Amino acid sequence: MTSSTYAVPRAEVDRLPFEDFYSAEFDRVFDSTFAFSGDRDAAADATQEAFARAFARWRRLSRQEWAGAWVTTTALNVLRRRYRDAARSRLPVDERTSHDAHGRVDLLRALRALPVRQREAAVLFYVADLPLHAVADAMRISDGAVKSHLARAREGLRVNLEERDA
Amino acid sequence: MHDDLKQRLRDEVDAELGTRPPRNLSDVLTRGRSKRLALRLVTTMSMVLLGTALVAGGFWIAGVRSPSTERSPVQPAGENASTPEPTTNETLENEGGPRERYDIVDGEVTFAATYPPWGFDPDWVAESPRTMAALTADLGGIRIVADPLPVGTGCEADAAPADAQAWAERILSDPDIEATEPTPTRIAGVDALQMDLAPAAGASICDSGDEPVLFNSSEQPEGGWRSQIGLWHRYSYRVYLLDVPAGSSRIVAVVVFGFERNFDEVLEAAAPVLDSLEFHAP
Repeated sequence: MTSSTYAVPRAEVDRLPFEDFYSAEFDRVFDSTFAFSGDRDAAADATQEAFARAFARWRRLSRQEWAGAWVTTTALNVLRRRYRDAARSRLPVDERTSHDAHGRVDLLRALRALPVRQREAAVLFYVADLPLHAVADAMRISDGAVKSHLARAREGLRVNLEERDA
Repeated sequence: MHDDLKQRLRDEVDAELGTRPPRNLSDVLTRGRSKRLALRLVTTMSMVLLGTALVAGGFWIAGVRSPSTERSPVQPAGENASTPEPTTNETLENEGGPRERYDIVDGEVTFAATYPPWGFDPDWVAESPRTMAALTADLGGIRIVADPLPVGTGCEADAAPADAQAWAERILSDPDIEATEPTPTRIAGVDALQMDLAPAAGASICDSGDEPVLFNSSEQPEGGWRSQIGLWHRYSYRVYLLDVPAGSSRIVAVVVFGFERNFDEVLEAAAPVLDSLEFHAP
């Protein structure tokens, strides 16, 4: 996630080939979908699907500064739709990935226990590293609402971690 | 605090993932070309069908599509639900695409929209497909809801006002909403009241959403973001309240919204959709 199309000046985005865009944004989108779901295969497929949708409308999308944010949120929506029938507010967590050798994955598991909208805001802001206004635009809510979601998410992370430690 | 949390989450993603899956650009291009072809095919076929219908009957003869089951063939929900604010140079394009027809209240209220710019947004009506319809474009949206319910002071659904005038007065008295005085207008030949709205500073919000709620669906009166129409900050809203002349519904509310700087353009693009509204007896 070293390169961000969101931050690329518009004049440069105008000339961005899709291949370069895919290369620059892949990690951001895949990491976000994986952080959101914990399902490696589903995250990979959602990432590919989102980029395919972007490619189908690249002539128009390539002119936008927010193309990276568009693909990231589209990928999350693909995931949400996939899991909609299973559970509306709680997505499955891959139990195989509960902890690494150093026990460092607690925070990620706590993230996945958050309600969907809080989790979406947290993933877009903390993992995808989108600026606050981009998260607001992607979620179609105000900057203040994003801050509210993030505050609740942080509180939720703290509670989840405390419950796990208890 | 934010930076620390970002770093910790990234570290945990890295630790949990190990290696990332190989990039597969050819798969993306294959899928993307297929989607692009499908979009063009659907557009072309729709144009042919439209032309045939117009030639054969001199008027629109295609069947009414139900928003509860049909999705715009060219605007999947994922993109619609998440399209960020475009840049100022973007415009609401109208390339004369296929005209889709939609209905709510079991066909008693119908309307039509052309893509582009308007695409049906099923995400917004998933819980209220019978009473609510939603269209989105790059710069804004249109929500149409039959017999909406207001939200009470405790965020519960409240009793419905008797008619459009009573609804307008209810909105005017709502401390969470800044509203202009209702002005008479006509939508599709029906008398209506028009008001411009915005969330009031410091407006109270309910847990189910992030903004003051304007309308609740009568189908899902307990709320939930997909059965409500809220007022987001930084958007402009115009609401039309109509006393329904035919059918089982009493009131239809149409909400047109868009980013402030593009709102005139959104209103202009929404006008044909509003003019296409029709009300039918059951």
